[in-house]
Amino acid sequence: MRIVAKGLKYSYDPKAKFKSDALKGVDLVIEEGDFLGIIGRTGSGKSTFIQHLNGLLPVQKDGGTLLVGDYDLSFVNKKAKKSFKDLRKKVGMVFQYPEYQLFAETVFSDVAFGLKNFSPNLSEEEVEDRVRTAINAVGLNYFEVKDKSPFDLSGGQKRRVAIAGVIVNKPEVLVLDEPVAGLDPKGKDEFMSLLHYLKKEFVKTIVIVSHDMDLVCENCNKVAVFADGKVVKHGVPKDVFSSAIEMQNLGLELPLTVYLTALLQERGINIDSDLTVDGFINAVISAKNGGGL
Amino acid sequence: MREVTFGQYYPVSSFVHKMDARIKILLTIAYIVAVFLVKEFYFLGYAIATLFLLLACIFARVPIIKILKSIKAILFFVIFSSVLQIFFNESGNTILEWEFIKITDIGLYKAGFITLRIVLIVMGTSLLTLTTTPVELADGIESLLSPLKLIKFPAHEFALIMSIALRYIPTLMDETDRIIKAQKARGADFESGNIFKRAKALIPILIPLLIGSFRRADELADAMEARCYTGAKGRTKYKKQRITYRDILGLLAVALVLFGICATNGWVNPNWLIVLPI
Amino acid sequence: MSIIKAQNLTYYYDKNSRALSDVNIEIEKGSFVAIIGHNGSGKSTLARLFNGLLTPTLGTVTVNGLDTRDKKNHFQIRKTVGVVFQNPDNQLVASIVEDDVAFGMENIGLPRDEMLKRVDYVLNTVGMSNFKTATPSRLSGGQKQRVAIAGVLAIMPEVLILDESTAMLDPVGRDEVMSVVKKLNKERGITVIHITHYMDEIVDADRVIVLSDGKVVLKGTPQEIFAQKNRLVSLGLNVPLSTEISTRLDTCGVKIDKQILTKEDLGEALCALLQKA
Repeated sequence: MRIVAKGLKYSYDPKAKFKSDALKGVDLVIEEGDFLGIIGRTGSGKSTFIQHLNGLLPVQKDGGTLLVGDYDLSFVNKKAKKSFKDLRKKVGMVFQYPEYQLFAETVFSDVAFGLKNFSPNLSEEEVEDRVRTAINAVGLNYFEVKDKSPFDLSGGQKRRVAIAGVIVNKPEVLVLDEPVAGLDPKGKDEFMSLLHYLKKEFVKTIVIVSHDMDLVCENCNKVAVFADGKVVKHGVPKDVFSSAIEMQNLGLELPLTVYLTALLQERGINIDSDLTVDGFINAVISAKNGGGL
Repeated sequence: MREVTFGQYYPVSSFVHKMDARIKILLTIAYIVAVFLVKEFYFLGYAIATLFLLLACIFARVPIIKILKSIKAILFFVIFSSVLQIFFNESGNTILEWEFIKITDIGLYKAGFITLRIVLIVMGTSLLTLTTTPVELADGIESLLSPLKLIKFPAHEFALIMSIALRYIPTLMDETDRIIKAQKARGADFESGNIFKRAKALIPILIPLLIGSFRRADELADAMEARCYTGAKGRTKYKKQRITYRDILGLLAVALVLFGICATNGWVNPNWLIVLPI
Repeated sequence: MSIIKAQNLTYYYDKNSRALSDVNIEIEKGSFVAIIGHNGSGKSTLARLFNGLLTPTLGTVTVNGLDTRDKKNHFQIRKTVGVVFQNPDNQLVASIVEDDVAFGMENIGLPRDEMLKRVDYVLNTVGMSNFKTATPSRLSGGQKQRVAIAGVLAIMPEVLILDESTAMLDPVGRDEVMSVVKKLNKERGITVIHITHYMDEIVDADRVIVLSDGKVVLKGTPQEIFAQKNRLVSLGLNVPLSTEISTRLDTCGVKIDKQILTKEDLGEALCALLQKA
C-alpha cells in the first residue's frame, strides 16, 4: 500500500477564531516496503498525522488529500460517513504504551479481540490458528501465555501482547507511536529486532514515530522530519541528516554518527558512510587504514 | 494535547470574579431563599430579582446569553412542571375546556410563577459557577464546612477529594480518548448495534480506564505521602481568602433584594422606616 | 559522611517474590549517585525504601541515623528525602502550579509568609516562574516534572531521589530536568540519587550502583562501570553509544587510548586519530 498525503491540514478546533492548526499542509509519500521514521519535536504534528492513516482522525473540509492504498480518505461531504473498518484492518496502529490498553481476561481473548471485530466469520480453528501465529510472531510462547491474564505479564511482555493484537489482523502497514518508550536498553534492542522480523515476515511497511535519533538513524530506511505541522525533510537518513545546522535549528538532536561525521568534516576529514553504527565504524577503519597506506 | 475546559467558568477579570468565593456561595444561597420568599403571584418580587441578576451580570462582565444558556439544561424540567400546573389545576376561571382538559387562569398564573422561580434560581446559580473557578469553589466549600469539623465531619478530606477530582478530570479525559482510539484501531465499533451491544462495546474502554485510574491513585498516594502528607492535622493553608469592599457591596446588594422582596410581599411595616434616622 | 545507609537490606513484596536481597549501600552527603538496572531489578523499590514509603523486611535503612522502621521517624525522614516519581501526570495534586508547589509546605505546617517566599524561590530555581498560575494539564512532561521538583524542593530536603523521573519525557524535557538536577547538586549541595536506564544521563555521576534481580552487582565511578561493557550487556544494560563505538573500534584494531564516555570525547579522539593518519 502506497500512502500519499498532499496538503494535509488538520485543526483540533476548526471553529476557533485564532486556530492553531496541528497540521498545516503535510506532503508525504510513504512507499510500500518503507521502514519510515518520523521525527520532530513534541507538538510538531507527528501524532496527529499518523492518526489520519487509519481514519481515527478524519480529513477535514479543505484539509487536503490522503490516499492510503486504494482508499481515498479525502473529505467528500459531511454526510458521507465512511466506514473505516476495512482500512483499519490493513493499517495497524500501535499507540504509545500500548500495554495500558489491554483489557481481556486472557492473553488469547485480548489478541483475538481485533480479529473477531474485523473478521467475524472466521471459524474457531481459524481464529486459534491466527492468534497462535501472532503470539509466536512477537516472540512469546503461545502455550505458556495464552491462558494467562495479560495483567500478570511483565511490562515488556504486555507490550508484545498488544502488538500481537494488531498483527493478528494481518495488516499491510504497521504504525507505532514511540514503540520503545520506557523499555530498558536490552528491551529496546530486542523490540527493534522484533520490528525488523515483523517487517520481513508479516507486514510490508512500518512507520514509527520516535524521539530517539540514534534509533531512527540506525533502523529506518527513510526519515521524515516534522516541524510546525509540516514535513520539512524527507528521504534516506543520509540526505535528511546531511545538514547538521538545519537539524539543530529545528531543535532536534543529531544522531551520534551524524554528529561525528559533521565534526570530522569540519576538521577536514571526510568519512562516507550510511550513518548506521556498523557503517560508520567500517568507514572510520578504512579511513584510518587508507590514510596509513 | 487538546485543551479541556471544565465546568462553565467564564475567564474574565471582573468585580464579581474578584469576590471571595465563600461570600459568593453564601450570597447565592441568600438569593435563592429570596426568590423562594416571593409570595404567590406577587410578580414584582421577581422583577426585583431579575433586576439584581441583570446588574450582577454587568458587574461580572458575563454576557447575558451565557446565563440564558444555563436554562437549556433544565428546559425539559421547566416545561414539564408548567404543563403539570396548567393541566392539573382545577381552581380559577376556566379559559379553555376540551374533553377532560381544563385550563384556568390560576393554572396559567401558577405555571408562569413556578417557571420564573426555577429560571431565576438556575440563572443565579450559574452566575456563581461562571465567575468562580472550580478550585475556588472547592476551597470556599471547605472553608464554609469547617465549623462542621466539630461534629467530626471530614471537611478537609472532602475538599481534597474535590480538588484532586478536578485536577484529574482533564488527564482522565485524555486517557479515555487514547483508549477509545486504540480500541477503534482494533476494529471496535461504538456507534452501531442495539443498546445491549453498545454497552458491551464499552468494556474494552472501561477496564483499561479503571485499571489505569487505580494505578494513578496508587502512585498519587505514594507521591502525597512522600511529600509529608499525613492528613489535616498540623496543616497550614497557602491560599488565603480575603473579604474586600467588593464582598461588602455584594452583601448589601443581596440584602437590598431580600428587603425589596419582603416589602413587595407586604411584610414591611412602613412605620418602621420612620424610626430609622435618615 | 553518609546520609542514607542501607545494611543487609532485604525486601519481600510477598512471601514468594523478593524484590531486594542483602543490599548494602551508603550514600555520601552531597554526592550524585546513579542507580541503574534492568526493568524489574528492584530500583524503584529501593527508592521507596529510602524514604520510608516501604520498610525493610530484613536489615535496616537509616536516614541521618533515623531508622525507617520506626514510624515516628517517617515525618522527619520524608522532610529529609524528597522523591520525584516517574509519571509526571500522577504526582501533581492541585489544579494550579503554585498550589501544587505549596502542598508539601502546607503538610509540614509552614507559616503562610514563608510559603509565599519559597514558592517564588523554588519556581525560579527550576525555571518555571512564568507558569506560577498555570494548570498542570497544559504543561509539557518536562515542565510538569520541574513543577514536581519545585514542590519537593520547597520542603528543603537534603536528598532528592529521581525515581525514573526522565523515563517518560522527550529529549527536550529530559535535558530540562537533568540540567536543573545537576545545578541543584553542584550549587546547593543537595544529594541526588538518580534512578534511570538512560546510560547517557549517568556519565557525570560521582558513583554508579548497578542492580540486577534485587542485588547490587557493580559499584564504581562511571568510568569503572562503563569499562565493563560485556558485563553490563549481560545484565540487560548497555554503555553509552559513544563508548560502544570506541570499544568496537578498539576490537577492530583501531586503538583509542582514552576511555570514552561522551560524544565530545569520541569526536575529539576520532579527530586526533584520523588527522594523524
